[in-house]
Amino acid sequence: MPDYWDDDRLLGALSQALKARQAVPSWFIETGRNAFAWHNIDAELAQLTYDSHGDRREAAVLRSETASIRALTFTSAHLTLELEVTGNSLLGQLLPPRAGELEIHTRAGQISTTEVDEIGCFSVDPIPDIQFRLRCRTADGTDVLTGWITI
Amino acid sequence: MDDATIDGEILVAERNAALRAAFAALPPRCQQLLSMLISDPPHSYADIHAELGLPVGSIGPQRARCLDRLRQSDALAALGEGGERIDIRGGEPGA
Repeated sequence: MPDYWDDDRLLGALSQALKARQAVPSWFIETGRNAFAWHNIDAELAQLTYDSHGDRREAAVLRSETASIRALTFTSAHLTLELEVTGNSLLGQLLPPRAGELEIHTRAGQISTTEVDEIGCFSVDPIPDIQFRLRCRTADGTDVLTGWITI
Repeated sequence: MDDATIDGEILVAERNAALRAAFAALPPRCQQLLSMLISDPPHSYADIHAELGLPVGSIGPQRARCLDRLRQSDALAALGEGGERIDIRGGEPGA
């Protein structure tokens, strides 16, 4: 600690240091907080492996008609989630088919739950209007979390 | 951005982190007082008296005491000789 840091300089430096912290963008803090909220979740992360949205864009040069249904596939080592958007609801199926419970986590922190039937089917209705992710826990103990989804 | 600027920015960032750590380790009364003193726009001693209940005459000595604690803190001591290389008079990093 240099001796020449008198009170005024020290206070000035402190002021700068605290302001520099306030300058961190809020989205940065928000993202960090969200990541932290998930850091101790013991679920497998399912990656988005198919999105008809991207498919359609590529196909646009070849075809003029657009698919009316958006389909998404999330894949993890033990489970695949097939999702289809139809109107206001999201229909899904687990592969291989099995029963379980599905949690819908929105970016705003709300959590709702829906049941997955014996053949692995479920519906999310209505579709959250903000980003959300799905966490699926099956009867046999598989626990899978998807990445964030925006419909 | 040249190397000297980057070095300078790293030193400033280190110093800022040390200052924040030192500040966080201060007693709450000191944190409140110093926060009010460096707020923008600054609070008057009368405001500080009203907010913290400190007699106006003791704000100056209290300020000196709090800054002394800050200066003696482990976080700033750890900054050690590195701190001497930083010109603390300057405003923005690299300026």
